[in-house]
Amino acid sequence: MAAPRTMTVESPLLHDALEGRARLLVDGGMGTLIQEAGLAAIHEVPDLLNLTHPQAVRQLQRRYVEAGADCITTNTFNANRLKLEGSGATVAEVYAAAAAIAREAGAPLVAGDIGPTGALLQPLGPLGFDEAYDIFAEQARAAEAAGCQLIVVETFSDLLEAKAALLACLENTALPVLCTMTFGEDGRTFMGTTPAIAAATLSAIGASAVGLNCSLGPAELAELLRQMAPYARCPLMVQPNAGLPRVNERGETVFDVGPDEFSAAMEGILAAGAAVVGGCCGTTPAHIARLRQLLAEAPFAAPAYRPSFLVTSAQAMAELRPDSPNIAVIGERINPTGKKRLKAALLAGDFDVAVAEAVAQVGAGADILDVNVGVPGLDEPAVLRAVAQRLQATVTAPLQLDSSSPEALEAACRTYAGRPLINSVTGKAESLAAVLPVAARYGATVLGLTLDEGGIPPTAQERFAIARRIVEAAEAAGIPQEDIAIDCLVMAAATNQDEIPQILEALRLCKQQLGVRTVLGVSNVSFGLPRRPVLNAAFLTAALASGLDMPILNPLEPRYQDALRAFKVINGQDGKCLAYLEAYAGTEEAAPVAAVGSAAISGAERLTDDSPRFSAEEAAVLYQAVLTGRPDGAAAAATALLAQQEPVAIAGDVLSPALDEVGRRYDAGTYFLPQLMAAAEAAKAAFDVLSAASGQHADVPAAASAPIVIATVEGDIHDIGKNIVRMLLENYGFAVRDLGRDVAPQAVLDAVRETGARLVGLSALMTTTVGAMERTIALLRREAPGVSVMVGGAVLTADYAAQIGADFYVEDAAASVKVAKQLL
Amino acid sequence: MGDAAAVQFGPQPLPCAVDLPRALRYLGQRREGLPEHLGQRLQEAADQCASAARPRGVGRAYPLLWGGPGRPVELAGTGVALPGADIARFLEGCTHAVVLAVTLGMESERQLARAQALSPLEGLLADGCASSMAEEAARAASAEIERRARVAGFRPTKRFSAGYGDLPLQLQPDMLRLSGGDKLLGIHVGPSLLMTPMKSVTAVVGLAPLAGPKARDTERR
Repeated sequence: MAAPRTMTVESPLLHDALEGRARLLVDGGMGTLIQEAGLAAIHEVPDLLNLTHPQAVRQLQRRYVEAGADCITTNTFNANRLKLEGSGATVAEVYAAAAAIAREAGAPLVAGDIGPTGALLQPLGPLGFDEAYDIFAEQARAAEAAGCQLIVVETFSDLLEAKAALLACLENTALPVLCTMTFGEDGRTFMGTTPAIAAATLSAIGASAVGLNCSLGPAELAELLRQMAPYARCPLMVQPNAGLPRVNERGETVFDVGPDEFSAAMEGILAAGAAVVGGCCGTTPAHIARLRQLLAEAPFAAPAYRPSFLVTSAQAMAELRPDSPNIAVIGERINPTGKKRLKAALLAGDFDVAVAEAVAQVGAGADILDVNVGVPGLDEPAVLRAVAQRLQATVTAPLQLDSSSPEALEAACRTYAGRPLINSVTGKAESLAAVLPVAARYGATVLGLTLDEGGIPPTAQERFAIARRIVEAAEAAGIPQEDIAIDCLVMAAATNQDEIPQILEALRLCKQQLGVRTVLGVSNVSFGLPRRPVLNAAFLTAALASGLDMPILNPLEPRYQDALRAFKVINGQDGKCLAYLEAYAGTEEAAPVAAVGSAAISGAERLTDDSPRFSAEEAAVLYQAVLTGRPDGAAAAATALLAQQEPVAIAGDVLSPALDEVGRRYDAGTYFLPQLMAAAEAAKAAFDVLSAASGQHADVPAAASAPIVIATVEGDIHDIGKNIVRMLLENYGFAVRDLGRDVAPQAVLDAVRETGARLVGLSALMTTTVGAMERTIALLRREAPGVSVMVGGAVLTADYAAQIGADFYVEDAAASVKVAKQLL
Repeated sequence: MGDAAAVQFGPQPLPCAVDLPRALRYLGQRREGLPEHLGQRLQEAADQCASAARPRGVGRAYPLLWGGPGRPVELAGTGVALPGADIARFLEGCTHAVVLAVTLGMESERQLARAQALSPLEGLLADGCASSMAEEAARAASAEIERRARVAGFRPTKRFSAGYGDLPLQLQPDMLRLSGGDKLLGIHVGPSLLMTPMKSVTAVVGLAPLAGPKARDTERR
C-alpha cells in the first residue's frame, strides 16, 4: 500500500484553478497546426517532431502562448512505448524534448500530455491492466522528470484504461492529474461510459480535474458537461473540437466552427461549470485568443457537485440520493456458500456459472451484484479479480466486491472499471486500517458492519456507536460520508428475537444522525424457521419502512419481488405505479403447479410408432422432451420418473437412447445444429436432476476414465464451435477439460500430462491461427506421443488436418462424439 | 468526372435489423425444419441482439493509383497498396475506392459474451443473429455509398474485404485506419487481425465514373 500522496503545486494560478477559484486556459489543437505547417507526413508518430524539428514545434506552441494560453500541453499524445517501438526514441527522450520546447515557447505552465495506448485492454482486448499501467507509469515519470507541472490524461474512451493512466500518474509522480474522456453523439464513449460515470469514477480516485474533450464541438459538449457536473468532486475541464469533423473535397478532415462561433458556444460550457478550458481537433490560436477574451468576461458558475451514494460499472450506475426515494437491490447469489455447483465451477476456473447467476439476478431486478468467491484453497485475490473482470465483460450491473481479505479487495478494486462497493469493513481497528485505504485509493464506496472486537452488540445504541466510529475513521482516511453505507447486521428471529426491533432502530439512527445509506442482509432473520420467504418478505417491508436503502437478497425469490414492487409504490419510487401495473395487471395469485404427465406434451409431439417402448409414461415423456429439446420438460419428467426408477437406469434406458436418436436424425439431415444443441440442453437438465438425486454424477455408461482435453488454439478467440463440442461430449458422458480459447501449446501439453488424457480436441477458426494448431500438434507429438488429436474449425479440411499432423478431422461437433466413442 | 469526396459518409447510424433467414443459414438450419419453441428462442436472441446493437458506419474515398501491369493498385496518398489479382479485377475501370467500416458496437460484444456464458445454444443463436445483422449493416453502408455515388456521377462496385480471394487479411489494420473505423467507430484490431467488436466489417467499394462508355451509350440513345 502506497503512502498517502502529497501533491506538488507551485504555480499560484494552477493552485487556484484546482481549488475552483480561478479558470485555466489550455492550448488548442496541435494536429491541425502540424498539418497546416506541412509537418504531418514526416513521421508516422508526430511526437517524434520534438526530436527532429524542435524549432517548428516551438513556433506552433509559441502561437498559443501569444494567444493567451496559460498552459501548453506537450506534443506527446502518442509518446508511449508501444507507439514509439522501432522509432529509436525512448519515452524519456520524447518527453524531455517536448517539455523543453513548451518552456522555450514561453508557456506559463507545461502539462505533460498522455493519450491512450492504442491497444484494447482485457477482457475485450489483449493488453493486461498491469501492462497498461506500466506503460503509463513510464510516461508519467518521464513527464515529471522533464519538468512538467501537471499531467493531462486525455481522449480516453475506455474507463478502465483511463483509470490505469490516472493511477499510474498518481502513484508515480507528485503532479496534479487532469483527466478527460471522449464521447460520441449518443452521450457515451465507444465502450459505453457516460459522462456521469466517468466523472464519478475518476474524481473519486483522485483526478484534480475531470472532463470532456475531442469528438464533438462545444455546442454538443455543453449538454454532456451538465450531465457530468453533479458527479465531479473536482473542477471540470473541457476541450472541444471546432465542431464535428467533415471530410472536404481533397479528402482532408476539416472542422467548420470558427473562433467566434466557438467562443459563443463556450459560454454555455463555462455556465455549466468548466474551470479548465481549451480546444482539441481543429481549434487554432485564433480560437484560444477568443476564449481568453471570453474568460475575462464570463461569470463564474456555482459548483454543481451533488453528494450521493454511487456504485457504478463502466456503463451503469446505481445512485442513492438523500433527497429522493430509491431502493437499490443487491443480489446475493454469486456466493459459493451452500452452492455446490458454483463452488465446483470456481474451483475449476469456470466463471460461466457466475455469469449465469448475474444474468438471472439482473433480469429479476437486481441493481447491484454482490460477488463473493470465498472457497477454501482458492487464490482469492486472483479469482475475485478474474470473476469481476468476467462479469464486467458480460453484464453491465455494478458490483459489490465481497471478501474478508483486504488483498482480494485491493486486487479486484484496482482492475475494476467504475466505482465498486466494498463489502466490507468492520469496527475492528485491524479491519479499519486495512480496508479503508483500499476504498480511498480506488474511489470505492464502502459498506461498514456494526461489529467490532467485542462482537455484535445487542442494542441499537451500541450498534450505532460502532457505525459512528466507522464513519469517523473513513472520513479520516479521506472517504467522505456520502460514500459510506452501514449494515446493522440482521440476527435470526429464532435465536435473537429481542434484537429485531433494535436492528431497525439502529438503522434509523444511522440514517438520521450519520447521513449514511443503509444495508441489511434480509434473509438472516428467518434462519432456523420454516417457510423462510414468508418471514423474509415481512421483515423486508418493515426494514424498508425504517429507511433501508439497499437490501441484500435473492432477487429471484417471488415474495421479495412482491414486497419490493409494493413498497416502491408506497415510497413513490414507482411513479404512477407503472412497474407494479406491468408486473401484476391481469395476473392472479399463482396456482399450484400442474402435475407432469402426458398432458405436458402436445399431440403433435406424441411418440411416433418407431419410438422405443417404455414401461412408464414418464419415461416416454422424458424421451420426447430430449428429442424436442425442452429443458424444463426434461427436468420435470426426470423428477417424476425418479419415483419409479434408479438414476442409472433412467440415464441408460431413456436418456442414452434419446441422445442416440438425436444423433441419428442429425446424421440423416432431418435435425440441424440448433436442434442437436437444444436436445443436449434438455438432456443436461435431466442429468442434473439425476445427479442431484443420486448425490453423484449420473453419467451415461460410456463415461471415460480420463477427460478429453479441448481448446481453441493460441491467438484465436473464437470459442463457439469448441463450446458446442464440449456440450455434446459431456452429454454423451465424456469428461471434458476445457482449456478455453487462445491457449498456448504448452498449456495443452500440461493439461494432457496432468489428466492423462488420451484424446485432445483443437479448434481454430482463422487461417492466421492454423499455424498455432500445427505447433500445438508438433509439441504433443514430441512430448506426449500416445495422445490422439482431433481438429476442427471453419478453415480446416480433411487434407489440411492431415497435413498439419492431426489424427482426426471432425467436420462438426457430432463428428467429435463419434471419434471419442471410437477411441475411448 | 464526379466528386468522389461526396461519396464519403459517416460516422453515422445505419438502419438495419436481424435477418432471421440469413441467421438460420449461418446456423446451418433450414427454416422449415425449425420447431416452434426453437424458433421462439431464435426470435428472443434476435430481439436481444437488436437491443444491444448500435450499428454505425463510416466510409472514406481515395483516388486509385494504377501502377501498370504487374503492380498492385494503390490508394493514392496513403502509401497503401491492394495486392492480388482478385482486387485488381474487382476494381477494373474504377478511378476511386471507398474504404468502409461498420460495427454493431461494444454492447453487442458484451451481449454475445453473455449469451455464450449462458449456454452454447444461446451463444450460437446470438452469434448467428449478430452476424446477420452485421451483414445487414454492411449492406446499409453499401446502399448509402450507392445513393451518394449516383448523385456524384459514379457507379459503385459491390464490397470486397481483406481476406477475400488473394487480398491478404494483413490489410485489416490499414482498412480500419483508412476508413476511420478505428477513431470514429472505436473498432480495434489486434495482432491476430481479429477486430473488436467482433461483429465489425471493413471493405473496399470501387467507384467507376458514370461518364464512361456505358453511360455515354445511354445518353446517345
